[in-house]
Amino acid sequence: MHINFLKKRNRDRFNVEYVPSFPVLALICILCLYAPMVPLLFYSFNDSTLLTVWHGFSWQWYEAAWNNERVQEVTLRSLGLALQASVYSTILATMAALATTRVPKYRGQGLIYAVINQPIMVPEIVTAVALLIFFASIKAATGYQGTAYLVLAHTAFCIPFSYLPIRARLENMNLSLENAAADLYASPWRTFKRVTFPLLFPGILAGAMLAFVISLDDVVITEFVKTPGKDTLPTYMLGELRREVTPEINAISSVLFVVSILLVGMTFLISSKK
Amino acid sequence: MKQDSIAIKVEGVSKVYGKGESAFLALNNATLNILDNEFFTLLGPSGCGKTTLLRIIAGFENPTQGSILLHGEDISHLPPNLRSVNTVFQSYALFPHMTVAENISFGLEMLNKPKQEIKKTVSKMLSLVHMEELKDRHIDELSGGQQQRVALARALAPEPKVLLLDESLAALDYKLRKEMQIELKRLQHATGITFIFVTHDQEEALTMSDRIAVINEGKLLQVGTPHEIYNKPQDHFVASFVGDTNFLEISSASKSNNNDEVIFLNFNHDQILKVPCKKDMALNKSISIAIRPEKVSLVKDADSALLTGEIVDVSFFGTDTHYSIELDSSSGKAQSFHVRMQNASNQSKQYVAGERVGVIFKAEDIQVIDDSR
Ligand SMILES: Nc1ncnc2c1ncn2[C@@H]1O[C@H](COP(=O)(O)OP(=O)(O)OP(=O)(O)O)[C@@H](O)[C@H]1O
Ligand SMILES: [Mg+2]
Repeated sequence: MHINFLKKRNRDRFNVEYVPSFPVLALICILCLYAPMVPLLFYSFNDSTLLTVWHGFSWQWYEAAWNNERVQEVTLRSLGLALQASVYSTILATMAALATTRVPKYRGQGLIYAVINQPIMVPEIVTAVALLIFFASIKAATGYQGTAYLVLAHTAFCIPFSYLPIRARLENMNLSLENAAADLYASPWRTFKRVTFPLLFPGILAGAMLAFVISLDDVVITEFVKTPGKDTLPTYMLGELRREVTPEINAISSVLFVVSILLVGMTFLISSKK
Repeated sequence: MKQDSIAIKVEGVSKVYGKGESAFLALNNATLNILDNEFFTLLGPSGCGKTTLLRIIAGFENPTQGSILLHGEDISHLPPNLRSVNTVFQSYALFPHMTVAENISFGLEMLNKPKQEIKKTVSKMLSLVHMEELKDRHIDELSGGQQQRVALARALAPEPKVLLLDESLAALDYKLRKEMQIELKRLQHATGITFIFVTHDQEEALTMSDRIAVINEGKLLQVGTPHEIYNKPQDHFVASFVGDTNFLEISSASKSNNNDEVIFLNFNHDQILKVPCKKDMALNKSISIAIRPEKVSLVKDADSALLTGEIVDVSFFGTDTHYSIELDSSSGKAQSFHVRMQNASNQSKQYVAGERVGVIFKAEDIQVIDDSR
């Protein structure tokens, strides 16, 4: 046993997996991350209005949420918003990724990279306040009050999340494939259509799904930018929590949790595909 | 067949990578004519600029200076997709999301050839490279040699005027490489396409090429048939890079008065060899000559020999024996000399280490190297 361990160490000296207690440590980390989820999921099936006393199994809170017209309304709004934001941000991110990897090196490339990822670095509350003020002045000037502001805001903060998997995929893709296509008489557009895009597609899909989840979950920026009375699912939940806490919120959160996990899981599966 | 017309003309091409302090001259004023139907090889050590020249011909790189002509037409400023030149990439660069057949048909589709014709050409190409059975495989299900053949078929399918091959055989093991060398020659004869082949393997260059260009540090040193390159190297580098060579410094030499393309070299016992040389060859310093080890013979009788010395090492190679000799020198500077003698008949004399011997060779086997170039 001991000798076996030494052998492994020799083979792969710096691999953290061979630190003796690695499996235990990993387990503790996973527990810390997911332990808070357990009561949430557990009590979403509680046959009682009490949040912390188990009474029996029931689907009633899921049914209540499903039949709640307000929940239906805000869920549809959230899904629509996430869909639009993820599509727009992915298109922009794809173009940005191509422009930062598929052209000869130019001055300011590093700066552009930083600018694209800026939404990840800047505290969300700062972006939210900035957008509030910015949009307020546009509203004052144009009088337009619609949902475009929310779509714009979500698109903007989703871009880096779409950008990263797409860029990663492009960087792993050998430029010689595109050279080969050009060598075989493909115009730049046909090279993109027949070679770059098909090979990039898993990255694009991963980027879109990640952006979708990020938009679906957003509270802070949405709270600042939304039209009053037009809640999304997360801001609706926040409002409900302020009034009274029912296990219905548990049920909705559980569904969101599962959907997010599934989407992010799929993102990783897709982007690790060859 | 247009036998001697020029397929590719490289005219004064230079390439500088980078700017300012980090500028690097990768190609230095290269001028070259590559003929129709020729198997032409660019030979040189790693980093000498072979790939750079190939990429300039293919259109992936712009020359800093000079131009490229394809059948007399200046193509220097055309993008790669408008040049009738195809490349077999060193890394193959096969499309991983397509099958073998789809890879081969790609170029034809991009040329908007009719479907029927594409089908016919693809099956012709598949049989040419013996890949009919594997046409529906994906690229990651092929061996290295099979991928190589797909890359060849893909580049040949659109019938380019010129095919560029960048160290195409370097990644293969010895046996497969020998097979592919024969295959390549066969394909070139079958298609009649001009091949420009890049390698740093001098043996590969000698056996495969119609003509060879030797490049070093971005400079084109010599262009010629394998025979000319091997037997008449004009440059110290060419002589040492292609095959094994003995270099000798001859301090005592003179030029004839009435014929300045001949030089007289003095050896032991006032023996003089008359050797052709360049017209403008200067005589103000010692002359450097090159002699191939297999063009030299050893004799027991030191009195009639051109040079004398002592054998320091003997290696037996079956068909021939290699001798390493330390030459006697007046200056006291030790100079070693290599001799390769065939073991053709069993009477041929054998020498042993420590033995004193004489060295002889013929004037016509001496190549005068002009180091002043
Ligand atoms: N994009 C580039 N930027 C700067 N320098 C480069 C670039 N490409 C090549 N070089 C330099 O130019 C020189 C010639 O490179 P090239 O790739 O043509 O060599 P090569 O003869 O093909 O060598 P090898 O046999 O190793 O493939 C090398 O010194 C290389 O470092
Ligand atoms: Mg190279």
